[in-house]
Amino acid sequence: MKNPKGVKNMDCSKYRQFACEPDTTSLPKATLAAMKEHSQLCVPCQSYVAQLWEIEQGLKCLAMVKAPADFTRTLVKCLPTTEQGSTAWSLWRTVGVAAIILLFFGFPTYMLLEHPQTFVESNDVRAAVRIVGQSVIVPEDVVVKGDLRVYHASLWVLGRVEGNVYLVSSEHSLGDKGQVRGQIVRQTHLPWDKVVFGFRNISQELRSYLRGAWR
Amino acid sequence: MDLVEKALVSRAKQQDIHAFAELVELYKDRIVSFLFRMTGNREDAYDLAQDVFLKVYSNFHSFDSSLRFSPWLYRIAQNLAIDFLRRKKKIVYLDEPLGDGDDRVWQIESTDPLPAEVAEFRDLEGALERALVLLNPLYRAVLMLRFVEEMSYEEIANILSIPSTTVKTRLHRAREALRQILVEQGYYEESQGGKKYGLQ
Repeated sequence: MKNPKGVKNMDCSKYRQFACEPDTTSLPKATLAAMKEHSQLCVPCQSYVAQLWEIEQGLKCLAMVKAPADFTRTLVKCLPTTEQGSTAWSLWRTVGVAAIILLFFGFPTYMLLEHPQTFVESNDVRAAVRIVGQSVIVPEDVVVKGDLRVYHASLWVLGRVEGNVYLVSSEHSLGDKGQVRGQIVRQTHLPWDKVVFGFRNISQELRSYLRGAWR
Repeated sequence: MDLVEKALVSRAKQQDIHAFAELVELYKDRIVSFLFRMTGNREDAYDLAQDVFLKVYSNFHSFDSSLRFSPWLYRIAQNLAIDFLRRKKKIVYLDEPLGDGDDRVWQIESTDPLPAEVAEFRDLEGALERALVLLNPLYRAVLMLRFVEEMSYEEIANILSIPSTTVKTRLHRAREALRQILVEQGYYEESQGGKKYGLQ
């Protein structure tokens, strides 16, 4: 490619390359000087730069293409409403399942908690809880004081107190360490103020050890 | 992103349809325009714009609210437009490489009325519309994002998933390719001193 007459320092392709730089001010001074010299003498390059500038301006002025008037309305109708529906359905489903669980499990639990199985204190040995076998001293740090302890085939009651019931092994340690097998509760709300002890949440295993006047 | 837009985006992220509709109102014309220039067809642009906003709505959970909304929106629009053009059988692959990592050069042979056909040919806008349709879509995208949407090089780089240096190169080549098409169409005279650039 021939340089125009008189242009020495920069050819057209170099000039056009530099002229297209986004920021020509950052170019070295010598390059800028050569560009200036080139642009003053080279008419085709002047026209080239002018055309690029015109194209840029033309692009900036391109008319905006309007979306149809009902664009947003149509779009909103197409939005995945099933998601919302499914959210609502999931909510109802959760509520339904919760209600069923409450009905089938909650009510019996409530009844059990509010109305523990009771036995009545009585002088009649046959009617009371029978202590089978001998008492076993269990270290205090193993079993919480005041709790009802059950020693394999025998029942050992530490007074009529409320507390958890543990199963204790013959080695004087907790059989299932810390595992609550049932609870003994005191009911004082009876109108005749008769103290009644009751058990609740009694495990099947423990039940076999408790003998008395169950109601 | 201004505060109103940020608030709208935040609400739309929570699947608030009203906020989403307001966002659509804000951007619909710009997106339709962008897609029109990408596809060269008004109906395709409308359909694609619907797809873009539907995709935005269903993917809002993945949008990072600390970032600007528009680059994310344009990224979706650009990707859908490129996918659409790839699917179109009217695309002809030429052999000339793009030269910036993407060696696809496409030309659209459209039977749809060209936008420029309704415009005066000697009018620059009409000439540009006509030339844009003949330009490589990747060049079209970079020109639109830079000169119409006035985005920074970094934003364009983010939208197109290319380095910003590539954006500059692509922009330069896009402008040159567009000028060359205008020369070939007779809108400009070839400047004699310059190298004749083809579609690169």
